[in-house]
Amino acid sequence: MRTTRLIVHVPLALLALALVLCASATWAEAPAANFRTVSGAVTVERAGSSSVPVPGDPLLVGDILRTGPDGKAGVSFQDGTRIAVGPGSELKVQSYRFVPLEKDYDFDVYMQRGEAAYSSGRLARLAPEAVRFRTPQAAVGVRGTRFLIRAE
Amino acid sequence: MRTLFSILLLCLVLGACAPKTTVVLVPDDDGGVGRVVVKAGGAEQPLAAANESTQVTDKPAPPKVMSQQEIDRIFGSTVAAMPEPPKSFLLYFPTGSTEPEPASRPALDEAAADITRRAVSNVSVIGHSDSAGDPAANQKLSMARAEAVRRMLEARGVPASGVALSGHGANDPLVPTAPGVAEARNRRVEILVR
Repeated sequence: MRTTRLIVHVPLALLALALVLCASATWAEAPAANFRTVSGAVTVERAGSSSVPVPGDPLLVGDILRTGPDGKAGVSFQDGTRIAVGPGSELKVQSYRFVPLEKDYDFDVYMQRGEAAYSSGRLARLAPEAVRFRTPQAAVGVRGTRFLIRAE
Repeated sequence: MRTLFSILLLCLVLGACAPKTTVVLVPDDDGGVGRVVVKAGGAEQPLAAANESTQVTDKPAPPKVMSQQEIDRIFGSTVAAMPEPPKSFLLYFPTGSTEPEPASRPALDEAAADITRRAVSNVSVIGHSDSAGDPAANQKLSMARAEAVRRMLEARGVPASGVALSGHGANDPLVPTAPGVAEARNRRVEILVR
C-alpha cells in the first residue's frame, strides 16, 4: 500500500516541480515592461543593486526607476501601456500581471516624486479597475486614457 | 528662530512647501479623451475633459483646465520621452490551415516593415483558432499558425529569436461564438509590435 502511494506521488511531485519551473521560466521570459527611450542620468534598482538601462532592457516588478535632474525614460509594458518618466523622478513597479487567458490583470505603479505621463494599453481596456497609479498624496484610477502626473 | 519663522510663513503664503500631486487628463494619440478618477483622503475627483486637472495635498481640489502653455512648461520634457504607440496587425486563415488568406499578405508586409523601422521593439505573434473542432487540436493549430507567421516574418528580415510566440486556441476569440462554430474572424494570428 505504502509502495503504491509512493509510486503515485513521485510523478505528481515531479509534475508539480515541472509546473513551478515552467511558470518561473515563462515569467523570466516576459518582463513587465521594456525601456524604449533613455536619456541623461537614469538608473534601475533591482534587488539592492543599481544599473544603467539602455533601450530594450527589461523593467521588472519590484524595480525602482530613478532619473537625475537631466534624466528621462520611456517604457512600454507587455499589454502596450506606456509610461514616460521625467527629470528628478522615482517610480516603482509594485505589481504587473497581464494574462488574458486567465483573465488575470493587475497594474500598480507608485511614484514617490517627479513627473510622468501615462498612456493606457490593452490592460486598462480589459480591466480598468485593475489599474492604479499612486503617489504619496493620491491614487489615480484609470478608465482608458492618457494623463500627466506630478508629485512634489 | 526669526529666520525659520519667516521661511515657514513664506511657505504658507506661497503654498509651495506642502507635498502635492497634480494630475492632468490629456487627449490620446487619436484625439479622444478618456477619464480618470483621482482618489485622496477619502474623496474622489473624476477628470473627464481635455486638459482638466486637479491638485491634491490632502483631498483633490475642484478641477481646473490647465493651459497648454502650462502643460508644456511642466510636462513637456516628460512627454518627449513617451515611446511610440504599439501597433497590431491581423492575418486571417482558411479552416484548419496554417497558410494565411492571400488578402492578409499586405498586413504581413506592413508588420515586417514596422518592425524593421523601429530601432528597438518587442514582437509577439499570437495564434488563434475558431471554436469548431477539438480544443486540443485547436490549441495546436493556433500555435502552428503563430509559428508559420514567425517564419514568414523571418523571410522578411525579422530575426526569429526576437519574436515571442503563443497559441491561444479558441479561448481568446475576436468574435465570441458558441462552441463548435466556424467563424472566419477568429481564425487569425495577431502580430503585436510595441
